[in-house]
Amino acid sequence: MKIFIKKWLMLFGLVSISVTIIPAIVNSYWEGAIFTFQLLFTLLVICLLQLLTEKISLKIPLLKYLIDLVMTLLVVLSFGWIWKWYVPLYAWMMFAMVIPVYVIGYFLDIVKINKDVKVINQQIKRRREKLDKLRDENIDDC
Amino acid sequence: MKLIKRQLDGQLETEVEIRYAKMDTEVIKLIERIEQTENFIYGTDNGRQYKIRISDIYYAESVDKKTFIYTKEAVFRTELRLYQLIEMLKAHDFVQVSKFCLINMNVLESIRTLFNSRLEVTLINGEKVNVSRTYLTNINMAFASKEEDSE
Repeated sequence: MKIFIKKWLMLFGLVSISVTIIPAIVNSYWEGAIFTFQLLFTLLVICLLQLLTEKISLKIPLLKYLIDLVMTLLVVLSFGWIWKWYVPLYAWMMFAMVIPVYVIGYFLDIVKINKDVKVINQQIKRRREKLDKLRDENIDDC
Repeated sequence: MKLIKRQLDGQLETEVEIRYAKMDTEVIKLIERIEQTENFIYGTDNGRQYKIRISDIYYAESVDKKTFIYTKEAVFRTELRLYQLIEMLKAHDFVQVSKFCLINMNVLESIRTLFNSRLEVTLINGEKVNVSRTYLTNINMAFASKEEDSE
């Protein structure tokens, strides 16, 4: 299911870029495509910064999520301000757009971690059983 | 070649005695194999140096640029840096679980997530060690490769 959703959203992203850029080239009208490029660049900066925060080991992991959220909001607000995506009165809309996406991402992350933990616990159990069996066989041989 | 295994009560250390008629390549290879499996690391405790069997190590941790080796009941300091230990122990059943910690896979009891998305492993002696979520894939892969090796 996860792979399906990933593939679907990736296709959506690529098609969105394609349907914006191709007509822009054909009609030499870049107004609409510029926003797509701005969005693409903003996401690239966010992903690069998240790569950096991945390297930081924090004693409180929840702090990492908070840093990521603040960082994402700052990037969106800064680029949004430069490219005039919003007027100060409606700056709250940026929060309304970023926070839900981030919260969903956070929960998906938790689900993935729990799944990994479950798999590792099964592997630990199998390994313990194998070691115990090996030990028992050695005792029997003696 | 005849293989005799014997469990003895009161035996403190595993002993291997090789009886041979002639020191040939087979015997030399056998000795080399045994020497490879019986690896030791030196650690200090209260100024005294100890020879620690690798299989006795539960985990190794780096704290304030100092490396400590933990066995079932004791803690030793080693002059080796954690990255050197990782290199030395990669052929054995050890897996890195965080930037500062390396664990013996054979002493893992379980792993669990804590309420604030932290991760923690419990060792067979009940001790708990923190795990970094970025190393989860590393742990998963280590187990998978060991399973492949044993099949």
